[in-house]
Amino acid sequence: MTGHWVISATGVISAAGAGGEALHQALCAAAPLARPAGDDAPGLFTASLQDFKAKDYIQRRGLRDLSRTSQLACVAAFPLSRGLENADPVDVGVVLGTGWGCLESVVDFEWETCSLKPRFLNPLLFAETVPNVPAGQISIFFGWSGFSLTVSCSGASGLEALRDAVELLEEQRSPMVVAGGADAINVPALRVLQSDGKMASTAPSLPMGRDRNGIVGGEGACLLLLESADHAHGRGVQPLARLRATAGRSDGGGDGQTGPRSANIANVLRELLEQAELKASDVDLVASSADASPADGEEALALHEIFGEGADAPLVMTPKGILGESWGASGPLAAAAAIECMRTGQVPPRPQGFVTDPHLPPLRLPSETTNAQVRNAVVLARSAGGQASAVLLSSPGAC
Amino acid sequence: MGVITPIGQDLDSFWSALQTGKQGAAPVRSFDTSDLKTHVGCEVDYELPEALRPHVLGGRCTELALLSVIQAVEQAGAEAQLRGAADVAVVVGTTMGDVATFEQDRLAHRERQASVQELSSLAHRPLDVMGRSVASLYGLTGPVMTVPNACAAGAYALGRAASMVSRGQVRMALAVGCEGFSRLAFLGFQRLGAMSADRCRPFSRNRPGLLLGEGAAALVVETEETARRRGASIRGFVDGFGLSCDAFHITGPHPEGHGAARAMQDALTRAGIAPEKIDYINAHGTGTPLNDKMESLALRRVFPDDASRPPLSSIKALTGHMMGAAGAVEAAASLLALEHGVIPPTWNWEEADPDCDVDCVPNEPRAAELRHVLSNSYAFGGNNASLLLSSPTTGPS
Amino acid sequence: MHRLGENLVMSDREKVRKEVIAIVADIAELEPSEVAEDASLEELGIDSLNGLRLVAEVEKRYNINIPDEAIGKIRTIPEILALVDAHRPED
Repeated sequence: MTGHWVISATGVISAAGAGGEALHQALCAAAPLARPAGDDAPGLFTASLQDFKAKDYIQRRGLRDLSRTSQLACVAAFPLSRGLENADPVDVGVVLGTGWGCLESVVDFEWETCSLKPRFLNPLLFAETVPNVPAGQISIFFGWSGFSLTVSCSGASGLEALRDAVELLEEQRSPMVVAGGADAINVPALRVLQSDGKMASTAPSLPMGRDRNGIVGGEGACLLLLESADHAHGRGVQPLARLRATAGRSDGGGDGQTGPRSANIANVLRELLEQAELKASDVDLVASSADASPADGEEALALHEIFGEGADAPLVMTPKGILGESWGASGPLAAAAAIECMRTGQVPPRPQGFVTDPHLPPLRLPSETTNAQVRNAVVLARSAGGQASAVLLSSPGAC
Repeated sequence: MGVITPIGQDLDSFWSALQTGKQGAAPVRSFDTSDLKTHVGCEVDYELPEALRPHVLGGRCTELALLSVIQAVEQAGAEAQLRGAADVAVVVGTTMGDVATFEQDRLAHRERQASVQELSSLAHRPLDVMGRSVASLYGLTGPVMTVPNACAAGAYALGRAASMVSRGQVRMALAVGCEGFSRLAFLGFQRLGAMSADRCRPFSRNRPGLLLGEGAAALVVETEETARRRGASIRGFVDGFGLSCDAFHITGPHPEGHGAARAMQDALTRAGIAPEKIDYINAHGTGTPLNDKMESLALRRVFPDDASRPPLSSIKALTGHMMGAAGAVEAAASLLALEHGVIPPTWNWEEADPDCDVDCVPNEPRAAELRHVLSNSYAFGGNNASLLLSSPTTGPS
Repeated sequence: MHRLGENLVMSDREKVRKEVIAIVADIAELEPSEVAEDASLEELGIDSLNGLRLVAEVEKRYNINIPDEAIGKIRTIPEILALVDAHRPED
């Protein structure tokens, strides 16, 4: 990374509601949002947005019939658009990470091709089967025409989108990039993961916890506005955080259904710190990507190796314990949560019902909301295919 | 580089087909089209060596990708450089990803909704499965990136791969564009009214629309210094990668072609090459009324002088629209054109269209001195990409 | 009888007009009262994809088949009504 890049706005929509503040409050309340998914998905737990309609957040036409993923993406982009009303549309690019694309649209459209005459197929549903369409809908809805890029890397999609956004900024593709991730609760995929034994069968199933027994399906979208510090200053905008470093690599992981190994995660963290020119002891907060799957152990090992234990180790938060696994949205949501921690000086506790796993190396997962000055925060994300991705955020004082 | 296409499954046969007009269109084999309006597509009849099977984490799209990668790596003499490497990237572009197994599983059970078993054919092959398969083939532990940017994805893959290499982020990159023949895409494009019943006739008056295709192309990307140091032969240079977004309509291009023009202009600016140095445009040229008209307008914006405007042609007349593979296959075609000094024509062209007032090199290969070529790709979501590719003898800009 | 027959035809046409406006309104995310009949579909915010959906809903509602070449030319509600009139089976 050669430039000085900042995050000057965030847009958040998740099971915790809209906005970074609501997200932070939900994490501090520490009550997992997982619920039984309902009669048509027995035994599944999800943390979903109840009765979600984009029109409740954006009073404009044109969103109602889009896929849920596209709607979530547009709702997340909306707060950013309010700060960009005077911007030249060509100055704004979009990078969106999605783990599943709109897989539910693929399933629904396939069923239409079986059950309807060809002339009655829904052409909008066909369009929404294509994974780059949510990013396209953002561009169309808000008019941003710099460029549009969609990336996919399972649960690491959103952080990979942030990494790509930085590269595109450094290539001077446009002075501002709206970057992040979106994925919707995806019942077809969750039913498959359930039959694979990957989903939580009892609640609570908490990240890093002794009683973790599988993942909880989540959803949401989170977009961050990235620009140079100078550009933000020129616009008269106060940055929320500095995006100081990014790193990521794949270890061609196991059977593709677990996650990166600890050696890979540790290497990514080392690379991140080196790029940021920081020591491990400079990091005050880690937003872990632990998701209550067996892969949590690998992440715990890596965090312990790099950051140690005890009072000097960073505080660790596990957003997926509240929000579930929201794939492409998860990394950016964790970044938005870290930004709120910087702003409020409060780090959320581990979720209610958490019991320490004695087999994992000790990490600082506080039992109560903790007052802490967060100067530097590491945000992690992972993919089932072995990718470990990370970004390092620094507080505005460092901008 | 390596190509697997409906008109040739290696560079020589592919190039020969582009010269002779071998048609990729044929009656669709992979599913029953008897109750559909059209019945023609451009499928690839290929065989997968058994030794590759353990690395196929996906389905048909992955198989096509792997076949093209093996060809490219062999042709580049790069296997020794790749095996077990942590500093080699894989960048894959696709539209639908690997949906073929799901589609095939569903054909026998269309009277009911998908079962969990059929859904697993889909959910176990997420969008990053092709990239992971390529990485598995060579034991690669570097960046694995998937850019599902629809019909521009292949161009995006090559452009991003070139960026990663030139930035020094990786020593080498495998850029892949891949797509399997998809019944969903076939029905979807038919529903949009975009599909031809027999031939694809880019830039021709009364052109009937696109034909769906499938295939893959892989390109081994490295710096000139790295290539020369290991004695590799250089097929060409990626001098510029231009991007823009129409922000207009989710499936149709902006009719004025501003976005497409901007992407071409961006590629030229980044390459530091003046428009008059461009000798040929490999067009997106899907053969739909809207695209070809828009692309002609865009061309006239970037190259306003009639006399010096470069010719353009579309190989989709023969290959069909290979969707995520198209941009990468067309980059390979552009590099072959540079190498041979021949512009592959726009086959199946019948009649001039006043809305496409450009030289589309109809029906006959044209010898020309080619130093710099622009290759255009446009996609759903208004994603526009233009690659500026230069002859190996020209040197990088 | 002739006058009565005319009135029946008129009220049927009025019913179809209202139904088609309701379909247009739904696709456009408007109230039927907000749909100006002399506005083009484009002015109502109906793009080409939603135009195809609109035509499909009309075809399903009246069990008709509008030729493909006619679909591409539809721009206004009166044109839709004329096509419904032209393709409905005789009662």
